[in-house]
Amino acid sequence: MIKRKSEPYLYLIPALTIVILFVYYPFVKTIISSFFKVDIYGNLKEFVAFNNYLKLFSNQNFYRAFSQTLLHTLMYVPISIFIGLGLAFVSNQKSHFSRVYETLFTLSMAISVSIACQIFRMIYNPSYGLLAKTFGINIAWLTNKQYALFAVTFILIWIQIGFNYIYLSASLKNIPEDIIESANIDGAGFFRKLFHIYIPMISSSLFYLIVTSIITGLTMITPVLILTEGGPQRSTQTMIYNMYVYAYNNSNYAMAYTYGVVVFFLVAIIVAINFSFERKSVFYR
Amino acid sequence: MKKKTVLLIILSLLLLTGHSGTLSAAGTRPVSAQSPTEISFWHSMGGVMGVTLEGIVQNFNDTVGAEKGISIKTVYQGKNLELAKKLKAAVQANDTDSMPDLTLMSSGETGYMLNLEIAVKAEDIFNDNLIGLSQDDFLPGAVKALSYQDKAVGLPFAPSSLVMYYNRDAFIAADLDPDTPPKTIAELAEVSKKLTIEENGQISQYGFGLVIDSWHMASWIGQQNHDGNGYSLFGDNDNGHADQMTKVVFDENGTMQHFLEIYTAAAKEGNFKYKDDDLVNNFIAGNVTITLHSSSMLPGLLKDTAGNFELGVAAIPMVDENSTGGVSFGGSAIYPMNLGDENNFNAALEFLKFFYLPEQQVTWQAGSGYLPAVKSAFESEAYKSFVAENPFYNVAPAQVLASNPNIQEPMVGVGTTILVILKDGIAEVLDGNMSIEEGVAEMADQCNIAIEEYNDAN
Repeated sequence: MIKRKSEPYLYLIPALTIVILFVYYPFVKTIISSFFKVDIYGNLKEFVAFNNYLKLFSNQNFYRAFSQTLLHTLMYVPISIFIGLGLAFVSNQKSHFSRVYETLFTLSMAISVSIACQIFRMIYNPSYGLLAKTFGINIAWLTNKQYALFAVTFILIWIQIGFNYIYLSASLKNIPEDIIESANIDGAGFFRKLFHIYIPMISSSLFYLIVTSIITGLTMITPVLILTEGGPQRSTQTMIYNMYVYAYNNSNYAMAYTYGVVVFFLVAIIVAINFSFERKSVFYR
Repeated sequence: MKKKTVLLIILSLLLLTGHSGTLSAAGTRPVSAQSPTEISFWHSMGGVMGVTLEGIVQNFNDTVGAEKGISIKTVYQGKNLELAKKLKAAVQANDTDSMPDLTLMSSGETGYMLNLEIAVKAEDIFNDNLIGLSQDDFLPGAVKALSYQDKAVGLPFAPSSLVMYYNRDAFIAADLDPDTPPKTIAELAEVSKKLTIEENGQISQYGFGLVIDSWHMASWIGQQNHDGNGYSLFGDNDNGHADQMTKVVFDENGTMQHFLEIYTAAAKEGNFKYKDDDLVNNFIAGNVTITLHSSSMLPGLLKDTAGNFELGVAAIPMVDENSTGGVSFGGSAIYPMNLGDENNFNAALEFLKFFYLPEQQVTWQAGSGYLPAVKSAFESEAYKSFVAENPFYNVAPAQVLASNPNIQEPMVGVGTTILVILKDGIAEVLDGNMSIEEGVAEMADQCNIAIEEYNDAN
């Protein structure tokens, strides 16, 4: 009897150990540590209650990083999904070359962000880059504060398109033919079909992509670390980048913990808002 | 504890010398045959520098090491920051077995090393005559760069300074004398203007290109003689060497304001390229004809520009005629670690004795572009014949030997952040988004907030 009761828990142990060790323990530790002063060796020194949070919210750099991260997400999520969806529609028309461009559209997904960044660093270079030399566009993409954030966002959009394409194209192909056919017989135009058949039928995939891209958008750091280091003139600083700077450049772990907690709650709130739409507008077959 | 350690060191030294003395007197086999001492050496030198360093260590292992039964194993631990992280992790875990017997450490970690008991301090090495050299044998600026609370903490290992690199061919093409490079920022503006080439309304060749940050400002602030001392300070408490820096003073002493007044005018007149992420490559490609960089870039630049154009090297331009022209020191330190095994500790000291010999110092300089750290190296035949053949290698040493040792980079825990603050602030002023006064105030405020936050937590 006892054996039967405890058996399921035994199976849980491996997964649980990993999750507790690498997710819940650091999570709890981060929250607790954010209420302390922490020295450069990572030792908690003194309880300071909400002092770190007050410092964070009184720092204008936080608001700057926040609005830049938000701007990035607002460009990144809709554009990458819109293009992915467009490509999915294009490849939904069966032809001899479907296979070829299906592969081509997904290819960007197979390139790691850091390698893509190095490629784009060369493309963007104002003296010898592709954009400057071949197209004669003379803009210092990564060193002009007006363009840097867009240049960085563009790279991530480019990578994300392939991923979005696979998901959306698969779910488009899953829509039963008879629905489309009866819509055609009833004389529905493309946009009517789009809003009343296609989008509702793929809404579960769309919802998944929107939520995951919002999370990756709000926690963006990789191209900033590789290409701009937050510059020029702070124009590409994101929230997670600022957290990284506090932790690894300044050894100010207390502020880094605080940043981590704040970013977590911001992301959680935005994702929760998304989920509130789920019941109303997402259709699961 | 400290007295005990020193006593142990002295005793062990006595023992070792006595021991080997009896052995050689008796004419028996050398120590090496009985007990080879193997020690580890952590370093942060990648690329060409790593190869040079490993060559020197190999040379030691083959000669002195073979004689005394010492074998050194080098371990590349990544760049400065990586190495520091790994050492700190080993210290925190109290894992003596995996700690190195010799380690490099960047100057930014001097405060940490001062408090690390197992790291043997330069001052003790000098006082106890452990490697046969005293503080006066080293470049004073290099020692100062690695001292904290007025105590020499680290032994200078890889000193470097800023120098000016220029394209001699472009000078000739613009009817400028390549043997008289600009000496002040005002002259630099004139020369840069003449070197600028425009094609179809676009600049295709820039004269001077540089993205200024705190590293350059350490020299340009330090060399101003605002109070008649022959140098100026970047931050209080003697740039953080006397005690923890609590604020920057470049705003109070007017040096930043003075520099920016001269530099913004010069940047406008000379079409300075002050924003670019890839200046070194642009310099090599000939798109920018003058720039400043570390003297340790010299071996690499000589190699990369060969075939493109003839390289020129000179002292950095002074802020104005009233400046001293001095430069600050950069570079890392080397620490022998006393992990409790006398044999290993003495082996580490043997390597230091070897490394500071003039011949090795010159080998190090030729292969890495870093400067010799001991004065005797500059007077040696090896050095003289080396720079006679390679005069470029004498530019940084000449500049450094003439500099006031008090011209220093700020020694502070948030060095990287200060670097970025100055880089951004100066760019804003050059862009015209901020007046000079606003820029100086903004930079000082932000630096002070960062310093305060750091000091508060540590």
